[in-house]
Amino acid sequence: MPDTKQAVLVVGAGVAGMQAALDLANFGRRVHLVEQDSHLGGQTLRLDKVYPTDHCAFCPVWTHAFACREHPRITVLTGTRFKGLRRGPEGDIALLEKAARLIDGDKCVFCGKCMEVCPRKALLGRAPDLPWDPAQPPVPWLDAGRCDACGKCGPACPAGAIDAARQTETFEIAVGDCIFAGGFQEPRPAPAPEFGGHTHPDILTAMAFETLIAEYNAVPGEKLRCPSDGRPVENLAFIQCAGARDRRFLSHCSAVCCMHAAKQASWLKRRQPDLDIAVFYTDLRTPGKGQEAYMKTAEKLGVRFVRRRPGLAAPVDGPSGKGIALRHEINARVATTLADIVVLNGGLACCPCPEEAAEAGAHPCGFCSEPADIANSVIQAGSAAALICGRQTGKDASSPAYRGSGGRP
Amino acid sequence: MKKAVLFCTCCGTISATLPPDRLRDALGARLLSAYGKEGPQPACEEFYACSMLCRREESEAALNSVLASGAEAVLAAGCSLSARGFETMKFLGGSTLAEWADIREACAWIHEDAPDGALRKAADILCMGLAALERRAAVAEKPPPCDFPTGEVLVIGGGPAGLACAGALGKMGVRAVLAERRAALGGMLTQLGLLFPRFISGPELAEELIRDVKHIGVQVLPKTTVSGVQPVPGGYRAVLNGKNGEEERRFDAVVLAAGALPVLPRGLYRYGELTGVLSQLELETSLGRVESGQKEALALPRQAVFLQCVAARDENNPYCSAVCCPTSLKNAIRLRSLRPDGSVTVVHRNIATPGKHLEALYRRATASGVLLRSHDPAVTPECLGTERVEGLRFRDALNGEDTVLPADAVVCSTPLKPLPDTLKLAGSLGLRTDGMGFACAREPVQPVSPSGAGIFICGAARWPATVEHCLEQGRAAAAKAAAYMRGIGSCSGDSRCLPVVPQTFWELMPDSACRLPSAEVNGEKCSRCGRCAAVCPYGACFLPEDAGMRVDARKCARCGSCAAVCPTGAASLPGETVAVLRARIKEALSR
Amino acid sequence: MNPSLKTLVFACRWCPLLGAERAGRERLALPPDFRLIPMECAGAVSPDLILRAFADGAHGVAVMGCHFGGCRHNGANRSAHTRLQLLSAALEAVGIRPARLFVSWGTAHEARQFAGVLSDFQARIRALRKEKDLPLLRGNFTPGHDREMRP
Repeated sequence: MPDTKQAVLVVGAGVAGMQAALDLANFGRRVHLVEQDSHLGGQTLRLDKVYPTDHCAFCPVWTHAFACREHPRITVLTGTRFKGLRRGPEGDIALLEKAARLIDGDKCVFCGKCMEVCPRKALLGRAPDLPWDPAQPPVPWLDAGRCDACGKCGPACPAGAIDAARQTETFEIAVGDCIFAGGFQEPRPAPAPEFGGHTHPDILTAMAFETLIAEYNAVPGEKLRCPSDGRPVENLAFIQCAGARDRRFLSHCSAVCCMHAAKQASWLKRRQPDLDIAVFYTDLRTPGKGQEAYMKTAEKLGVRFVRRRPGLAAPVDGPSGKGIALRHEINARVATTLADIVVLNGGLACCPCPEEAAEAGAHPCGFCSEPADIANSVIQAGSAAALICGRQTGKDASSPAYRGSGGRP
Repeated sequence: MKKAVLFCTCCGTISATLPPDRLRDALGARLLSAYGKEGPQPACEEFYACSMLCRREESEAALNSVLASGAEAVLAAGCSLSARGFETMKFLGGSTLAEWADIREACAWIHEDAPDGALRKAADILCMGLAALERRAAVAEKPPPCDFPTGEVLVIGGGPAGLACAGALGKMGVRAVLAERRAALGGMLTQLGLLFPRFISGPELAEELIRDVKHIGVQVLPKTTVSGVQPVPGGYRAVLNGKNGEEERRFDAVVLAAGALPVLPRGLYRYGELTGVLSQLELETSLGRVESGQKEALALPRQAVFLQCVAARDENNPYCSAVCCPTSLKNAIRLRSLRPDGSVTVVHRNIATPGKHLEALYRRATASGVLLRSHDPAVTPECLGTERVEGLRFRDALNGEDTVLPADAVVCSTPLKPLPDTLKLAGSLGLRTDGMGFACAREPVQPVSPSGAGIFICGAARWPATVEHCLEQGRAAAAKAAAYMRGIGSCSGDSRCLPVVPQTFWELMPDSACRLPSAEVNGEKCSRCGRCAAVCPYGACFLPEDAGMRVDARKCARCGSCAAVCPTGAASLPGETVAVLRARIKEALSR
Repeated sequence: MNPSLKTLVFACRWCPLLGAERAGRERLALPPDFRLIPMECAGAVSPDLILRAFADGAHGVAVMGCHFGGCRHNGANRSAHTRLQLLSAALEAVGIRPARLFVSWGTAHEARQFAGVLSDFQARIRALRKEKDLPLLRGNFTPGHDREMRP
């Protein structure tokens, strides 16, 4: 029978990881929650709003993050990467690597002195690409690209939290069980070269676009502007399944993109009703709770959903050329439409659980195992937690009905 | 009570706007003026300034110093709670009665350009904290136990979600009672053939789940309906109609897993009029009988057309039922392999197979020769034929032309819909339902916990879901219910009820370390008006017959609504009583 | 500026308090004459407390909570909204200017939003400083069960 005094390792502190940690800890297990970022919240924290409720993404994530930090049974290890899991004599041994961070979050008091003395303004109050500042307690964020290692910040810190010479340290911990909630990542460079991802500032991935239109960045009354030259946007095109459902790249469907596009489009339409927004889709997937209604609302707001996959998206050439040209094949003819900004949705790659860890018994859950939105990720996490908690009573007959992440082959 | 103020200058960032000596003088003058020379002693005996109160060495030194000089309570002033305040309070509050005042984010840093106003405000904030400390009564060390716990969870519904939930609960050591209205367990599983992606049949999976449930010792009540659940102190009272007739039983928590059934396409596409127009379940049964050898494969349709979104995504059922596309594709694959001489076409509006496994199913279907045509929903498809179906007419969405597909069977994919009884049950549990008949929780981060006060939902009663998802939801609900049964984790889900101002509750037993004492009702003052029960968002207030209102400690989340509506001041939150709040208000405003 | 134009803000500790903390971290400038009392939920603010605030010297009272549908306490803010609407109507009926009681749901969880909402509120209260309606509440209010208050 597994030793229930041993902690459970949860890798990844996105919505799935935090939910799993809380479910386990509330049941009575000790949990080590490991997250490679400096803050909890994962990809959801990079969102501005969530569907289908149109809530701010921050609120539910923040309270879960706070609960994880304050829960007496959860130890949070941020800035720590999961390197591997192997079977030990009594349970498993996890290998973790704590990244070398300029500022020690445990010592920093956020007085702001380092931010004041930095001559390159490389230390900011928060990471600029996150719509919300997530770190609790707050720690200044270092823009590594601007830092020239002048070393002025170190002596300025009254708390002794800054150490430029800090090294990464590797350490092992003994755990009884492991849940892997590694989430997803947007591949860079964006696949599907015909859509020109990352070749032009006006062709954006979904997450980059989310930061652009986040309410935090929106000044009331101001129009959305093109990242390339700052002119006001009039036409917007979303291309769905860009890099997904595509044998060249990812053959699976990323499950969240149709609703994600509808969400971004409806928020924009509410702010600027005269924007022309077209969503070019292959299959419009709204099977979740409240999702079809959400899509209908987006349509009522004036978002155009067009069943068509553009063949090519490329910046308009020529001296007077502005915008991105989309080439479509309609009834055996080639037609061109223009868009000021093109948002590529799709191609969210699951971060897979390392094989060795899976063999040692790690349970994957959340997007890393099956593309899922927040609700489904949280459900998967709860399911994995129940499986682990259920094993401790020794009554688990280990039937295939219960093993692994739902017994998927 | 002798009190002391521990003032953090936060390495000079606070004291730049609020110099400690000026603040101390302002505070002293105020408190002396409040008490006069002959009155009670000044409330604040000592003002201790340090540079980084969050450092353990500094807070220890500060605390020891003020305790040594006789202070009985401590007001710590520094940054905000979510910066370093919370962890500092954990330490301070563990040693003595303590209160936190945010004078950094709440004062010094937002009033840098108005130092006089900031000083006055900081003095007010400190006085508010000191006045609150004065009135903080000694609080019970342990939260009161729940009334009459039975230790049992009622799981309503013995389909895949309910079975998975009951099984998981049992394995986690929680006593579960599973009520199923039919004679046999398994729900929809008993009618489903091959399941994707495990490729076992529905009855086989049902057998496994039932075996698990029985092995663990879940009390199974077949042929039992649940008609009405009421919140009572300590849990819920359910009326069960089973083999012992009508029976009332009490449970600590309830899981709604009552499922949903596919709608019959009555009156649509000439179902019931033309032979060969089938419902998906009818095809499922035929396929199952062929696969088990009871029927000839040639009896299956040769030119089958699956029509998606029948009675779905329209005005009556304005939702996508999630399982119809995977089911059609799965059955199409089965049909292709049993009748390789025939053809199978799926006529759809969208193929909804999100994710990895369902998308793989889609690819498998196309690889096995299943044809797909998308139709324009603006033109309703039509079944053609006189007595037998002969074809399906629809408008092709890609080329806009009217097409007729020859068919000897048209399979209608209809949505899942909960039964009216389930709706009634959801209503009596106090659950919100969306306009389509499904029970609602708190999307998206709490999909299986509606109010968190011991009620959970999973499976198709929540929303149409594949069998895999139902199993996952059942287990997720079980995880939440098991934590709830342990009394750990506040009623509002997973977030603890963190105190607005941390108080000396940290010495509570570890098991209840997450919970702060629930709201209380003072029996002497209670007038039994019932307003608190009406307003409580968790249904935690009760009116016993012979006493004043009581609060179910397990369900209470300390929101304070009861205290807000109580006309006599009987209901209050321990630690943040009405007296404390009024003292804060008075100190904030009276100078 | 009249230094004694104090206002009291009841802020629920989820959305609005987050906005307040963020405004602090970004060091946005705010007028110093408001006093903030954090509450677990805006639903915990009773009309009694608001009247007490006016009686004790507040020129305006603001109640800030989360937006409808976003209340962590299952929509306790909706019943709070009804309660406060009734209170507002009652205050207006006795001659108190309605702008003195300000209720905001979910519009202040971000630093600049919080600063904006609060500054607007203060400005509106300042605009009412010549009105003569407050004495109706000063010292004339004794709630029925106010026996616990000791000096």
